[in-house]
Amino acid sequence: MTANRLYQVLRTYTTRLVFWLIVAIWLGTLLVLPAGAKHGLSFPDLVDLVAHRLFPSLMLAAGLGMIVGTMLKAQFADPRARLLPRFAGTHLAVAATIVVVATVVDAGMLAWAGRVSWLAAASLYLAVIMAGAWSGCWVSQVFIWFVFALIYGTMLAPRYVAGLIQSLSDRPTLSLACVGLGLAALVILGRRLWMLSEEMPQYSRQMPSSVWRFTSRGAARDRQRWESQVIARSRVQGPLRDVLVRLVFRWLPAPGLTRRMLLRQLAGGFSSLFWAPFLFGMIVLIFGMQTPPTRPIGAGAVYFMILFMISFIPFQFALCMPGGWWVRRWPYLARESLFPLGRTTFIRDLALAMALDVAAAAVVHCAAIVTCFALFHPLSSMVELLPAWIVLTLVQYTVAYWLLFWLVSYRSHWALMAGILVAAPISAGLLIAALYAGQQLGPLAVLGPVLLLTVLGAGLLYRLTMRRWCRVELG
Amino acid sequence: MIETMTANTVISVEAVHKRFGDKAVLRGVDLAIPRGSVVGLLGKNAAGKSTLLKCLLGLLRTDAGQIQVFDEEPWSLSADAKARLGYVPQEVNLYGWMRVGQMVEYTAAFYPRWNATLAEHLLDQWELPRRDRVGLLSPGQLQKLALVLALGHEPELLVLDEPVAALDPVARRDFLRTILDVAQSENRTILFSTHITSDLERVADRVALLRDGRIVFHDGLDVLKESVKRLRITAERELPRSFAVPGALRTEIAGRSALVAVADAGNGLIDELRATWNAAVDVEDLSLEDIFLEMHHDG
Repeated sequence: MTANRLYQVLRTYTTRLVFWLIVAIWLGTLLVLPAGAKHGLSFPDLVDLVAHRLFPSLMLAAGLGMIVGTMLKAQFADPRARLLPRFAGTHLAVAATIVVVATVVDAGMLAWAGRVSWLAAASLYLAVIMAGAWSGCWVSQVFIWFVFALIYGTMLAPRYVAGLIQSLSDRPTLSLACVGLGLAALVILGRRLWMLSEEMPQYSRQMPSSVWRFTSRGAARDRQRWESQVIARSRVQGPLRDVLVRLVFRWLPAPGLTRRMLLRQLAGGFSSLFWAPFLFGMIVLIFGMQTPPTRPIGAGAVYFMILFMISFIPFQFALCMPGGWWVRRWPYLARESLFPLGRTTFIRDLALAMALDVAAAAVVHCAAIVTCFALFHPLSSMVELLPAWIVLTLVQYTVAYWLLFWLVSYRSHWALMAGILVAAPISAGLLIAALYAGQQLGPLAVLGPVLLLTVLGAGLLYRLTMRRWCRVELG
Repeated sequence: MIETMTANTVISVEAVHKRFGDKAVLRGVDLAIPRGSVVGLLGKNAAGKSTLLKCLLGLLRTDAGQIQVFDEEPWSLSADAKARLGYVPQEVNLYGWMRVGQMVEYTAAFYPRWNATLAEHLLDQWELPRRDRVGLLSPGQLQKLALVLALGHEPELLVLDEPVAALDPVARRDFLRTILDVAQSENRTILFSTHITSDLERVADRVALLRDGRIVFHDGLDVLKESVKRLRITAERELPRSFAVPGALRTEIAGRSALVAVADAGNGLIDELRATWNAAVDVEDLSLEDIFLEMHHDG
């Protein structure tokens, strides 16, 4: 394995601007960790660190793992992996180096900032990175949810995550075993990729053919194949979609807007039906975890934390689902734009179809909030906030919708993800600020200007976004 | 070569330019396609064939020049105009999760006029399994399905971008037969790009050659074959290095002999060569593939 070969493989990562962007953000998240670090760190301090500073670092670690996994899969689900000499070994060596370096640096920073053992921190990061890499390769639901639980657990249940880190820190043997498991996962992943051959169903490069450009020509073809395999294997989605399609075609309305909207929902496989329960469940889960079982929630930081989490985490999820689907839909738009509709009507159709997706998310979100107020009695002390909260949530989704429609026009998953990552916490923060102001000044004094601003903002965004979409080349 | 638009013209292209960043792909394309013709668009890889077709359909915007399709600008084609055209792209993108039958029904639902019998017939003819998921079809099957979807509404103008590239010889022959059937309808116009000159010879009545971002030839296939010839010249004395034939596409000189491909072998050129060089001139007919090679010879 010559240095030149390793360098050439490394260049498949380093020649991408996105890679450096991620590295820059990753380094930024590392700098957040030691901010305000104390010398004699107590457990509450560790909980504080976990709750407020660990989230971005873990998120980036998972993202990095996913990129490495997807990149590996794209390289190995290709004839070159078998035909080029020493191709496999070099790619695996570079990927393993990236994983190890990221783990060592991440763990070093957490160990220093949190005054926990390096091994404990390494086991945490390696688990997250490897779960990300595994998901990038094989789309493992188990690993995806493990990563989500751990990352979002830092905010939802920081005490438990801090407890986990502390336990690992206190038990070096357990930490060592966890690191060993992580390394074993790395080896098994490499071995599975090495053994990958064309006759295996896992050979297809699942979502993106290139981790850097999800909408490339090859990616669209891979996407078609991957979608088919997922649906064909699924015992729920496949038959359910077939039934829905049959129902749509049986009761297809007369030509017009309703018919077109129904058809565009059909093209999306009625995806909102499949992710809406997750959104609902996520909100109920967050409420359930944050609501003390007996004591009412008093005023102050506690309920604002709940409000923030509900307005941030599920909201982010609710935007990622339709947003991601619409970016992936891009390659189909050229053909669909030639269906007998004028350009403006076609673009309006797209806007409306996406609005329906986002509206479905908003309705589920609000319904889940109301359900939680009915389910969890301690929330009754917050009930006077409910109407304003619902209105502001709808405002949040309205603005997010236009942002989403604008972002999708750039045909880039990266632009979409960056936009959502920035917009979700900001909008959640603004929502909390508006609620707080509403408590101080009266809800109507705040909601009036907010609604006015929303209408004006939505009008402006409508003009800008529609103009951009009407100028976009769909070919 | 500026082509004029007449009432019988379905597509008219005038001085169209298109660039991607620094790279100029189309550099003043002129083309007029008469109603009812089958036009093969021929060009090397990256000659700009797909770009031109996408500009014609309004999928890409031109930087300069004018295009009219059914007397409308492609970028703002009306619903009526779109209902009259069909397109099969080089890279077929269809919803992978749908079944073949569902994909056909889905597409049909958008069109005011859809010939379900024709679509069913083509599905049978090309042995496309209606229950299979689209994403699991082979590239050739996918191409056939795209053709079914493009033909189902019986378009007046059919634009095909490398339609047979992924098809096996049997499917190619079937496809060409279908094209001929489709073309027999009086008003139907077909424009297709291809690398496979033998297929083009079989179905096209006109050929447009795209080279260096311009249409260098557009006329009947017979006209092209009549005008482009290879001349085998044998003179009585040694030919000089400066030996040149007007309109030569390629010249090879070896002593008293020369092999010259000319763009226009008419207008007394051969008699003139015989007289000037006191030479025997044999005229060779060329296949379309040979013509294509001669016209793209850079040497």
